[in-house]
Amino acid sequence: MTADIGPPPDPILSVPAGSVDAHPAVSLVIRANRQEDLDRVRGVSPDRIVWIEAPLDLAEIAWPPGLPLDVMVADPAREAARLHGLSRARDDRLIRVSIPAKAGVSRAARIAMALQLPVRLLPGQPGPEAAAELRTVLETYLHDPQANASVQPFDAALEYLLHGRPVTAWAALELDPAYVIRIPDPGEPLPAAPRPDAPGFVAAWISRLVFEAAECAGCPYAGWCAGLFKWPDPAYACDHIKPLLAAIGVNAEAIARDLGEALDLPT
Amino acid sequence: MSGRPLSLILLPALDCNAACDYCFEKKSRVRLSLPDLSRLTRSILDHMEIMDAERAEVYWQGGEAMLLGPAWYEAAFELMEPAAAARGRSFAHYLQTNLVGFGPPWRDVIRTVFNGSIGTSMDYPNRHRRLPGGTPEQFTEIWLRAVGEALSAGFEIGVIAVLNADSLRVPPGDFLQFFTGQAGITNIQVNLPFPGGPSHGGETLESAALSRFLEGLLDAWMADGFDRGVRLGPFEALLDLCAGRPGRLPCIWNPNCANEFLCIDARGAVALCDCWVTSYPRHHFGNLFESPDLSAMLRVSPARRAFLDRPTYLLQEEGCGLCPHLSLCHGGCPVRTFTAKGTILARDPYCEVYQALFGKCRELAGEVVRRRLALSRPNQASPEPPSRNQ
Repeated sequence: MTADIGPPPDPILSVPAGSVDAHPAVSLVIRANRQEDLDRVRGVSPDRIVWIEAPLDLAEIAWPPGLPLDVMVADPAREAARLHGLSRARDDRLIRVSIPAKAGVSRAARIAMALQLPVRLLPGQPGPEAAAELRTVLETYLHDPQANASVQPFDAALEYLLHGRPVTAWAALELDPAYVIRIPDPGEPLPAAPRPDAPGFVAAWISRLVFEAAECAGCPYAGWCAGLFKWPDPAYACDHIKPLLAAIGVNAEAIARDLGEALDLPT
Repeated sequence: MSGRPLSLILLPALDCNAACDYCFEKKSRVRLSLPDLSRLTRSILDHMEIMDAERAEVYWQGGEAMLLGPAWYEAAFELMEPAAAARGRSFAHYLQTNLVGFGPPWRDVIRTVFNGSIGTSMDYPNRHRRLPGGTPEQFTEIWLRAVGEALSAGFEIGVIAVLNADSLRVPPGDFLQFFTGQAGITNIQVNLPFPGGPSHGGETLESAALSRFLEGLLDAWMADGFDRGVRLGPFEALLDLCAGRPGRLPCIWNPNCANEFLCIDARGAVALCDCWVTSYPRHHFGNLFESPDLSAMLRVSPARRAFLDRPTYLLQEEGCGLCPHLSLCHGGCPVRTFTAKGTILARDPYCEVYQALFGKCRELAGEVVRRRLALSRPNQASPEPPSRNQ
């Protein structure tokens, strides 16, 4: 799935595999957690499945051919090396690796990037150590010529800062309910209010932050970030995040210069 | 169907007309019969169907592949092509030979079966390749004559050059000149030796001297070779990749060669590549004449599982996960590691050399972009057959 310029008319539903039957007509992200979920996935028409989300342990089971698989890393430090095993399955289907920003994220992301797998970094509200690891990932993303697959949200930030492409971090990470509405697992505790599960949430959230004079009010990146890093705790200080975005901005300027020079080259 | 081809090394002859000191293959007087080739073809096509591969790249090697004679390959082609076509699949054939047996009778089959292309091997200086009872100098002379004949016949020739200790003592420009000037070959791949099987003379080379030589060779090629279209592997693909262009690296730097290659010998033995199949039976995946279901064999083989799991181990335990060149290397070659260290669970013994080379190629990437732009020639790396390591 790509977060294109505008949200789709009907948002995609992200549902636990056990509840696919309750949503017979819409496009789905199916969250599978057990081997038995395979039969549930097989029961859904392939053209309705946008992603199968599954943990690394289930990455190589016999998912229906060709369907995209989003490998959900839970503990990057523990799982990083095993991600290399995805080199077997990457020829069979599109594989993306989603990694939470916690200890080990840089190792896990670099291994996925070395296999040219798209990466989705789920930043949450990272502390200084995790933010430092994100910086390492960013350096690889920006400067390793072999890192040519998408790394979100860096891709979206670079496009925003380079071309002004108005895709927010929420949309790029498929966390914007205008694009993907997440149906919780049975018994899953509800997220803190305001809950990001209604279309219009992102605009309302950033408006509220600006109105309440959070640091978003004067932030040059607010148009892209839209308060992603302020959720769920609006008091989170973005001290470790802004340098990351500034680094992307510096590189966006350099790329713009290079592109300008390239256009002047004789062909 | 999957765009990913099956890469297959077939060894139809396990004997050889040469007696090279450093050959890693344990020879035997076994040759593949056409009825047995038919059985192998069935197994291969069944496997292609299961892995959904439309195409298989078949690398015919030995022993010495030409010992079977051109008529055998014509018959093999007649047997394999319709079998593949009947199942909506195809084979692309590549030949790797010492050229000792090359002559006019081979011309038609080189054209029809091997698409006018020949892969061969020679070293500079040649210290190990020889005929039984002969000298390296005599062998070089025979080889140069055969290369000349093949080039005159209009065939494309690619050469694998394995370095030896004496290679590191010659000026890199002389090394390049031997192949491009004296032999007239413009497609060269440099390989690093390993002490596999019953050989002697293929000892792992000393890292610092080897790095110096390879960096010098890269400079020599950039100075006189790159601009006139001489192809030098693995440098060319490395430079292209470092410049953000497509490039196909040799098998030693695949993310996991056990996902990419298979080798089958004339006895039906299946292993990862030619050295494993001929010299290390404990690492075989199975035998197709005993169990013709190749897919099932690959699925359950503990030996293959060990190869598949190797990169994960290296990332976890050997520091490869922190290496800045991870995206280019993935831990290197299992057979070079095994023959140097007695285990596959270690980094490639040429790790330091690779790192030096990767660093140098990254430095040169900008220069390559400028040169390619100036030459305005299309990138030649991707549509070529893969650059094999052996």
